[in-house]
Amino acid sequence: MRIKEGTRQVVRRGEGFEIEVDGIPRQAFEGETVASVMLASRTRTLRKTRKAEEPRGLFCGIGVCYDCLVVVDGRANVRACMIRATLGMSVQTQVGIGGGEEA
Amino acid sequence: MRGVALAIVGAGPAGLSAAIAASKCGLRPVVIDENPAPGGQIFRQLPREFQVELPEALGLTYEKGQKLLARAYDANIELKLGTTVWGLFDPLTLGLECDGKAESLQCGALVLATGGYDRAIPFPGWTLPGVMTLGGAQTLVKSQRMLPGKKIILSGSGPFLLPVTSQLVEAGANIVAILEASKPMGWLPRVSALWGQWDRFREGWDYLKPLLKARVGVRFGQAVIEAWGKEKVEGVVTASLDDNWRPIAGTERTILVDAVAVGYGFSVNTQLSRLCRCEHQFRKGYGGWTVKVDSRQATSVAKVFAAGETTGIGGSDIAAAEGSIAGYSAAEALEMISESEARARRAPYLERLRKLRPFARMMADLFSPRDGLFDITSRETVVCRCEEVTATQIHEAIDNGASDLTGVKSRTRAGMGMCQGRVCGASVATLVARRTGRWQGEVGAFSGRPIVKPVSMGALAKMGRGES
Repeated sequence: MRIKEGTRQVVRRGEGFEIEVDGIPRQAFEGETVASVMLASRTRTLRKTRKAEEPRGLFCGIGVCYDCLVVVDGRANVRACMIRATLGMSVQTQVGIGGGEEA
Repeated sequence: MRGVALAIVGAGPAGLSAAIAASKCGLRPVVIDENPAPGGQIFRQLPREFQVELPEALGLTYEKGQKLLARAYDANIELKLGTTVWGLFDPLTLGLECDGKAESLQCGALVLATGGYDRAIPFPGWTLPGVMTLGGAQTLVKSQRMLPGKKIILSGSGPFLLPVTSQLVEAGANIVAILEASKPMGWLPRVSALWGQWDRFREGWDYLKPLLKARVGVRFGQAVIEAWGKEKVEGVVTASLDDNWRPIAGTERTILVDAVAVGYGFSVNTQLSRLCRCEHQFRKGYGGWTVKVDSRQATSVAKVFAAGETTGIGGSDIAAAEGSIAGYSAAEALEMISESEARARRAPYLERLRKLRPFARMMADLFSPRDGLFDITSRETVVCRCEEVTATQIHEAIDNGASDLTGVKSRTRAGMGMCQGRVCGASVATLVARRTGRWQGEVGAFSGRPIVKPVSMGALAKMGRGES
């Protein structure tokens, strides 16, 4: 969830827009990562694993672990923690190796 | 192919300090980093699109980071951001990828400042969404202004717990508990190393203030030993630990949470130094296998230098000092400054390191996970998250003759996945060491090989055809 800036506003977010996550429009702000947009819309599961089909989410948050892989505009294996949300983007939670073009 | 005199991998305190030093010697170094902005993990920036209205509310580290970044922007440096280094080839040629395009960059000298990342110890349920590293939770707050959940528990050991909790509390998070595996009684024999570390006290106090205000207490000698939930984490089991950090049966408690942040110190990133065939050494409490360097930050390979956490965890002040030394040494190797000038320029930083290192040593001694804690990795626990390999499968591989990490890797695929063993390396080493009754330094590490980070075949093919 996004930090609520109270009376003492520390940071002002970028411009708001929407991206599509699994076909549903979700609120995003310029500068946010795809992982943040998904977390803010309560999508904790970013992918299902290849073998056990277990849910996985954000883990290291800094691009090291490759556990937060999603499909972005048809491109599979994109790290949700590293990619910025942009206007018109379409994101899908990834199942296994993602099916789409390998990133 | 493009050629440059000096390439630096990593734009954290070490890499930026190296670049600033080298630029003072007439070089224009290229600094490569995966992130869209410089600063590394410690000085990770808010996105440019976010506006900081109250910088003083962001704390000491933010202030320090802004100062270093201002100096870097003033210096004659080429920043190559959003760029992943996926390989390293002879002679000193880096394989890069940026925006789906691959390219190569040859350099005369190289500084590796690849940093470190949280070390998590596998436990049942640690793969559930909502369980993340301390660094992951911190990054959300610090650079995205996000909270990881509504009810958060933190568990780990070492000084990193404090700033992460502090930042979460300041952002209005509901912290259910902070569990520190060590016990203050165990600290007493070491506190003499604190004498003279006044900056550390100021830093510590800055982090403690919000905790005191929010009445968040630290529970010592405890840890999260299990997480459970259906599609995401719904709760954890905690336990008290004995002096060897082994969970004590009968002390288990269940706590309902929707986010868990864990971290037992750090591992260091040595994949590129391995590709370079630099010599490494095992340093318990300093991140495991680290790059071996001399007092000039030179590795065992000519014209290759290393600085910061990759040579052993020590914090950002040590990293910055080592970076400066590496920058001057690289300039010396490239014959931009004489040996005597290089020595003179390095001297003040060596003196600084002499003052800073006792504190790092104390931290390594006190907070390095003790053997009993590894009992939390149950037989069914997934150890290699990428290839979904359990502790039992690794044990079977060892019982069938695998005596080191390479043996386990070839039998189980542990360490072969997308992260290339960065996350499971230390855990697999611990399992092998415990099963075979040896010291971790004896069981080796996953060998580094290109491609260390995934790059698409399409991008490589285009590079081969000279289209990038």
